[in-house]
Amino acid sequence: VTTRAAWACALVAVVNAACWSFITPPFQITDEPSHFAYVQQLAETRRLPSSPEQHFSQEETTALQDLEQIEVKQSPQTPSVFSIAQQQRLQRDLSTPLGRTDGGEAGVAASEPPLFYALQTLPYGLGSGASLLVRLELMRLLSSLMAGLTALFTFMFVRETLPAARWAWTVAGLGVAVAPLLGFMSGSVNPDAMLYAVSAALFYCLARAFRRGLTLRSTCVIGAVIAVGLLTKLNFIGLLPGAGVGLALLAWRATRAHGRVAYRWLACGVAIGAAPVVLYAIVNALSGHHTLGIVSGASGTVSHHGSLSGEISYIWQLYLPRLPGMPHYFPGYSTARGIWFDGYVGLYGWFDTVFPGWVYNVALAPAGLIAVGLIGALLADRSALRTRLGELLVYATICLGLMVLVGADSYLKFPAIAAEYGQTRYLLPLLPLLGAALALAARGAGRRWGPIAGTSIVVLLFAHDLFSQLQAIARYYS
Amino acid sequence: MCSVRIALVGGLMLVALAVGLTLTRSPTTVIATDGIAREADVAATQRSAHACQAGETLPAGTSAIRLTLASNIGPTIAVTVMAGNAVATRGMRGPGWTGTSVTVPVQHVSHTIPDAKVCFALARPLEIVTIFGRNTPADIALTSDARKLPGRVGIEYVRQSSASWFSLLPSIARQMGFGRAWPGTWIVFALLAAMMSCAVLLCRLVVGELG
Repeated sequence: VTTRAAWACALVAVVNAACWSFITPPFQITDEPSHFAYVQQLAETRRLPSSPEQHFSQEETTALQDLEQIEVKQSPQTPSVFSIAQQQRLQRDLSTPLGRTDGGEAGVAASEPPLFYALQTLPYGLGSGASLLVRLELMRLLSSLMAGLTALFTFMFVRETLPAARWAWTVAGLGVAVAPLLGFMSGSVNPDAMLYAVSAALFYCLARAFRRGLTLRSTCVIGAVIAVGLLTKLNFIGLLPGAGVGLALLAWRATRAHGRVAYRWLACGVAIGAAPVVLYAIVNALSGHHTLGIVSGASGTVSHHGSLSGEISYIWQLYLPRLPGMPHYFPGYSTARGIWFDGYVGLYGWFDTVFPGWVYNVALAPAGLIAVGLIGALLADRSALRTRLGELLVYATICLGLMVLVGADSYLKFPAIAAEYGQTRYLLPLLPLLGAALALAARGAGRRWGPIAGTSIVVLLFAHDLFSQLQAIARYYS
Repeated sequence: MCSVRIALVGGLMLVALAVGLTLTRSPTTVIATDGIAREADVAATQRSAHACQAGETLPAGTSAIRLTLASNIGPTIAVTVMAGNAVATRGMRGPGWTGTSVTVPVQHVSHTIPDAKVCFALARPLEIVTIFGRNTPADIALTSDARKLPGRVGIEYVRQSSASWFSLLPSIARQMGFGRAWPGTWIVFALLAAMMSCAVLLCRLVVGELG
């Protein structure tokens, strides 16, 4: 029954993301043109993109022009394709044999590892005889399946971390399944969709190992998940410190029951996790390229500036209020509220699809209630928390690692851009923790009211999703 | 079990009511523009700034003014529209706006005001704010602190539409069918069916697992 519930949560997430994939017009999601170009390059030429320039294939360029992608992206009042004439021109142009291999560049996506794009070549190939828009939609649907995996692993993560509260697992699974930002991102061609799924898998594997003990098999699985994560998106690097601490802690604990052999398991896990990066570096070194390929080139072009303490202050203030003695990096502006909270409540499209201002204020009320429930549950379970400090430390390190990565990358562009990567989507690899927080918040209402609170949370989040979709529809089609 | 069902049904009814109420409201619509397309970066600033653009016509019914300014975390912006020496309308938007344009709500304008001057003041921004527009001769260009900028900024005048969302549903449905892999209004019905299935599945799960 539990497994069925987990899969049902996954199904809700897939359907929700698929809906988002049909709602958002082609290429009106952050960086989708670049990600599509990467897949096209890989599928058509079997080669990785050669440069981060924005010179796309003739076919994609024509589609972007006919869809008036730039105009729609830049003007909130400009709807998507809005006339039969435009539609006919689009169909006519895309039905002619346009060049698919004359691009070779993939814009901002060029420096990303290839696994997600390699998977996307499957739907791309499936629709290779059809128009570009069909291929794009098929690719979006593959991303939607990844939203299902995210919800599934979140459910299983909470099952491992809160084994006594069976009903709360569903609150976590559904809470994540209908998260609009997950649906929006997973309804697009973007490696973030796969990153969320792999991150959720990592959380689940670690939680399972903490609950059931480390074995050679579980170490290898964690190593494999890390390898997949590293091959999916560079942001996964932010999760590595936490994963490393987790594996080390688990191995140390396992020595009590299995002796020093546990350290050999640890070595196996680390070797599997590091294998793709090491292989990639060796191949590049042997072929005379930069050790980390195009990533090395990209990192060489950014200049570091300021002091370490300045950088730490910046990263702190990107998430939290400034402490006394710190320089003002965001004077008069609450980053926690403006960037992260409001960004989660509603910021879609190319950051141009937002709710009316009052919605963000109203959203503080349910968020506050959920926070109160969460704190109540944590206080009530504080003795249990004490016994699991090591596990909590691992999750906290994963959070910290990701947040520092986002902050440090943003600091490179500061002050020209105040928070380049200050986008809530970059924190969605932590969705399993959000799921656990929702489950705990519902539990915080007590044994009698807990399921009712859980139901209310699920309905509230479903409403959030529904209104987010309506907002996107209003933006692009009214 | 019973109380979970009551919470679920009550919650869903509230959602349905909220959707219904939303559909009776009206969208905002652009009633006029200054015809300036986004062709060039007119200026960029990382300091507090003030600029005015003359020769604008403020249409009756305007309730917001949209300027083609771009920022990730935009600063507080105040807009004042002058008709001669008198203030025709004004409004303000707080910090944190994002994107390639900013919409500033202003006091309702009851009648059309020709030859108005639209001024905007930016508080000190956290990052560079770019003013988009079109390069023009200096005599009609945007003025900042008595200095002529190389062009004009794009301005749109916005008001609440008289039509409700509900009355616009057919045209929205038709438009959703354009620009698709498989064009046609079938997509609206498919989306409705998918979200209904989502809701049914969610309800069954909640009742089965939480009830």
